[in-house]
Amino acid sequence: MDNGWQGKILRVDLTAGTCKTEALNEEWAKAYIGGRGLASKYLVDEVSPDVEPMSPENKLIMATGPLTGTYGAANGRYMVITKSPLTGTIASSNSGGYFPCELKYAGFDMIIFEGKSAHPVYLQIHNDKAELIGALHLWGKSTKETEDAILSEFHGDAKVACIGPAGEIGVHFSCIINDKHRAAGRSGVGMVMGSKNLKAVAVRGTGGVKVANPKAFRDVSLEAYGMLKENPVTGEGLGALGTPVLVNVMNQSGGLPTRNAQSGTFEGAEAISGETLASSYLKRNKSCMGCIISCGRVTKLSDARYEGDGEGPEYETLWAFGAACGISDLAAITKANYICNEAGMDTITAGSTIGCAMELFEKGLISEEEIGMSLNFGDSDAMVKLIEMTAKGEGFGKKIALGSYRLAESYGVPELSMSVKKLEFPAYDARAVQGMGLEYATSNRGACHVRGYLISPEILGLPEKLDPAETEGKAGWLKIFQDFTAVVDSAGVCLFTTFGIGVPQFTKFCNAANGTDMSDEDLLEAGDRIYNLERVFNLKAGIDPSQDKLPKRMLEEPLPDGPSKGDVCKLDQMLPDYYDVRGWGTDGIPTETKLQSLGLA
Amino acid sequence: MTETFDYVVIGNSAAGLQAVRTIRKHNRDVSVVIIDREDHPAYSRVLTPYYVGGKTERDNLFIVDHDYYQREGITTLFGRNVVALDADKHQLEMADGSRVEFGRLLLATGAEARTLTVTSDRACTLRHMADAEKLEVLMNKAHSITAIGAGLVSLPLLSHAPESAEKHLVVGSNRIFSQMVDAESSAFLEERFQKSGLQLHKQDDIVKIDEGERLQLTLASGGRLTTDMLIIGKGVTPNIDLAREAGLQVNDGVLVDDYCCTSHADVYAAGDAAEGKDFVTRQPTIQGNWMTAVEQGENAALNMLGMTCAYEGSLKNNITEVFGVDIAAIGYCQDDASQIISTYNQASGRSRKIFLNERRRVIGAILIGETNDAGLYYHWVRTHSVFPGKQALQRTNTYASFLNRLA
Amino acid sequence: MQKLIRIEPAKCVGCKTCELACSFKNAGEFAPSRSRIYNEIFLEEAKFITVTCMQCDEPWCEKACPKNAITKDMTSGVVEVDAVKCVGCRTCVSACPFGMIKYVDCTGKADKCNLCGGDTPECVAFCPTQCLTLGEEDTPLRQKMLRFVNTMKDGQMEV
Repeated sequence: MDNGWQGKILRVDLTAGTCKTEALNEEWAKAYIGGRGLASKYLVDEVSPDVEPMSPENKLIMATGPLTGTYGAANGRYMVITKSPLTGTIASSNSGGYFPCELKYAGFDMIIFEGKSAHPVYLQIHNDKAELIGALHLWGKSTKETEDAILSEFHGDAKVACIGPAGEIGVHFSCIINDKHRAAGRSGVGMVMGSKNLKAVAVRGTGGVKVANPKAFRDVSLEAYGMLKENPVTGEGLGALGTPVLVNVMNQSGGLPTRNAQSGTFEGAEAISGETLASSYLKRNKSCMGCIISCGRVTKLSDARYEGDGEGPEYETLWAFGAACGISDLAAITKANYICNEAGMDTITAGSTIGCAMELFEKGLISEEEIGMSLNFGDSDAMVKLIEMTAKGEGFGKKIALGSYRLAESYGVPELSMSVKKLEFPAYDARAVQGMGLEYATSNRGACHVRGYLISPEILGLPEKLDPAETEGKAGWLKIFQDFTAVVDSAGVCLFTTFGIGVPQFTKFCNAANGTDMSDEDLLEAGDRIYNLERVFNLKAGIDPSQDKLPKRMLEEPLPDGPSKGDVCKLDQMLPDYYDVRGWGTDGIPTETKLQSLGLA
Repeated sequence: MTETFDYVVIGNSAAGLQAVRTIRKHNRDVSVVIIDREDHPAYSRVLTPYYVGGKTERDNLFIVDHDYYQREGITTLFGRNVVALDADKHQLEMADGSRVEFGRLLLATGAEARTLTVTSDRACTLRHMADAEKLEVLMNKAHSITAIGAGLVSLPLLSHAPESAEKHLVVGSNRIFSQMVDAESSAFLEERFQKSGLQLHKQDDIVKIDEGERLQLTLASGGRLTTDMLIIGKGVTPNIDLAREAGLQVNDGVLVDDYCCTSHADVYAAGDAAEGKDFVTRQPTIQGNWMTAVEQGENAALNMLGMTCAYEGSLKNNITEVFGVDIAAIGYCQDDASQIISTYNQASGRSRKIFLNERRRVIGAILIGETNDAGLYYHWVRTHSVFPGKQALQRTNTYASFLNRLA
Repeated sequence: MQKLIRIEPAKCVGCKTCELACSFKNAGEFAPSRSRIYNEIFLEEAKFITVTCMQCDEPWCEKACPKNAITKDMTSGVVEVDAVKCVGCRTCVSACPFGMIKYVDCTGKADKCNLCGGDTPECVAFCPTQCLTLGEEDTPLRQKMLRFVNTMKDGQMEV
């Protein structure tokens, strides 16, 4: 096609073992942009909200956006959409690397997996040829081993997305790893893939992606590149230090949740900071396809206890295995990160769950006997050991594999799980950054930071500085951020670009790519539509508005330290306002009028 | 009448043209003549199948035009036959009785297509422009095309033929491309070609042709084929009569040393008529490909000019597309290599087969599918590269990977 | 003065923007397979290597072409394929030891870098790290290659 779309979807029936190509629903593509939005529309249309996530009736969609495979900002993302086994909500996990673009170059906008294969299989795509191949020989292999094996038996230039052993054995926070180090991380999408006996997707694509208006597309790309280069975060900070640049920033803001969020500053922050990583294990920085920010960290461990190499740890990972567990041992954190990448596990939930287990242990709720070792905050050896056990499904690792909510609940203290809708919140304390608290409470996939990253205005001052302690106006900001993020995800672009470029650039990108004539408002409305579509699915799935809440600790235990000492998250001051700006009823349910205006009724 | 030139080149194709170019690049003062019995500026034999198949215009076959020779100060004797060579006297005798004297001579006389004992007006080899013109006309109206001989004439021509035409290939041996690839690759390609509609008649021959509205071919096996034209691709015979009658050392071709010099110090040979050292086997070989002719033409010219330099040996290097399958064969590609390493993938249809000598140096490669990296494999053979390992075959061979191994 | 794309591997981040920019300009689509510059990622070694045609002084491809369709412009130094003359026989492809000329299925022609025909090469214009620059060049090929290989060796492990 002469626009950003290839116009083709690959539908893989794992039960029947068939691969069929069908036309993209262009009307939906227009209304839901692509990627996250469009795939959600397909999921909502084809899967009942009350589907059991691990059943063959659940579907797993891998989706690119209309901008995936082009240049201009960091246009190389794909999303995995399914119903999450961890949260029961709609899941959309997002990843970069090279795989997403390769899928597009093979000629497909999206792959829909349905049913369940009787045996382990993987999908081989060579341009328009797609075939399911037996994967018994790959089952049990790490993501690294799987990719290497596929490259050697299929094509060395292919790109691979796969699950590791964690996804096979049902770790609730298992992810899908592509290009060895990139993760569609959260919500347990790897567990769904594993439940379908689907080990991997390997793609070799030698085609291209066209755009409707090349001249306009080139112009907006140059504009976006200029803005990204001039922006201190995308032009400098992320390239030099990667996301770990945030460790010191958040610690100084008193919003680095430490020891299962018992405090907001970590005395060991410096040791796990981006600066320390840069001067120790960092080999060089690296980009995903078409990205000029290059936040990726290529690292190699040089430590007497641990070895390995790979990419990361990212900020969230440094926090999860670091501050959240009271650990300041960078080698151990890096090792845990590698284990997670190779086993295919989300580092945020993994680290947060171990932090939770540590608190349970220190509170005497779990015995040393049950774990098989002591598990105090700060014990890096125990943390690494427990990650290994989780990846292998051994001993107490099987409990960690359930995520922090199910773990804490099994000991009668679900409030000690630092999660919303059973998804652990990441490395920003809601008591120190009020807007983030609202985001955690209302995000459609649980306590997630990348649905409306208010850290950008509240901490980094982009696009303008907001007071993180203020609650007034945050609802309005969050709605716009959430809607805009839905647009960015759906377009197939990395969220990090939004530090430097805004809605006008995205409008131009989308119009130039698709030959449309959308206004900024139209684009944000599409974001709103996507957000409401997800919300309605969740409501029908039984995730009612009472779940728009935060752990008791965030609401009732004042921060004991840092600049926000004494503060709690004042969610009750923001939530009604949020429902209002969303055009939802006071009960948090989208009104009929709202849904009608978005074409969702 | 006798004309005298410093340098005389017989043959106006790859080797001859490259020789006069090289002479002129280094010296604009010496006198140069190029003689050919065809009355055309140099045209490209590599491209004639494309013309026959309607993939390019006849005019596009020419490499240079008449002006080129004039501009470069090269005398042309086109449409003229040389009938005798007296090497000691430095003299050529032309068919019209005139004589051409030379300081140094290059025999770039090429080769002639072998034909069948049975023949017809609707049967043709492909060697010269006239052949191409005839085939082009025949192919345009043929509903059924038969070719005999399974090499780089028959197969590309059949594959360029209209999709609707019935295609038969009669092969004397038990496999196609036997001169180019090993048995396993032949089998693989046969299967692919048959899927594209090629009908193979192996270990067979054409013993009789009956004329009529259509041609009736009788095969040695007893079978009969009704067809509209017959392409004869039975290989070539080097044009060495002139050299042999002049007393130069000949084998199948005119024997040359590492300087493209024949047994007479002032007579050189290059291209399809010359039999020189093969890069891999070090044995006298007639390579019969365009690049070898160009390289030998250049090398001969340099040595004729007194700029002594040894030719490192000819190397097979064929690259083509037949029935939509990209194929490249480089260097030594036969079953008796010390070690053969191969990869194949069903989904991409891509295969790589590497031939190694006893010291694990790459001596040959057969690439099927995705042949854009053929030059890298050619380079491996040319530089006696140690095989970097099977992993290197799994992805596209690139200069970046070479640098990566080096760094 | 002849110009050449200079490559400083230490600055490369492996984003392949050069490939995207090249193919978008020269093939009208974002297609790394159509790019005339190659940015390769070696994940295991954490190396990013970019190569493109060095516009050889005595181009192998030019010599191999059985149609004179490839010529080197002595003023600009650019080695270019004349798409009208090219028949797509691929002899040049098997001749270039660097793999810098390729046959393109959809056009049926050989294709290679021509430094964007006088404009600033698109890859240089879009390279986000100045890993690629356009420089004047008069060093003979062998030295070019040696220097290139040495920068490769030196530049790889730096951050």
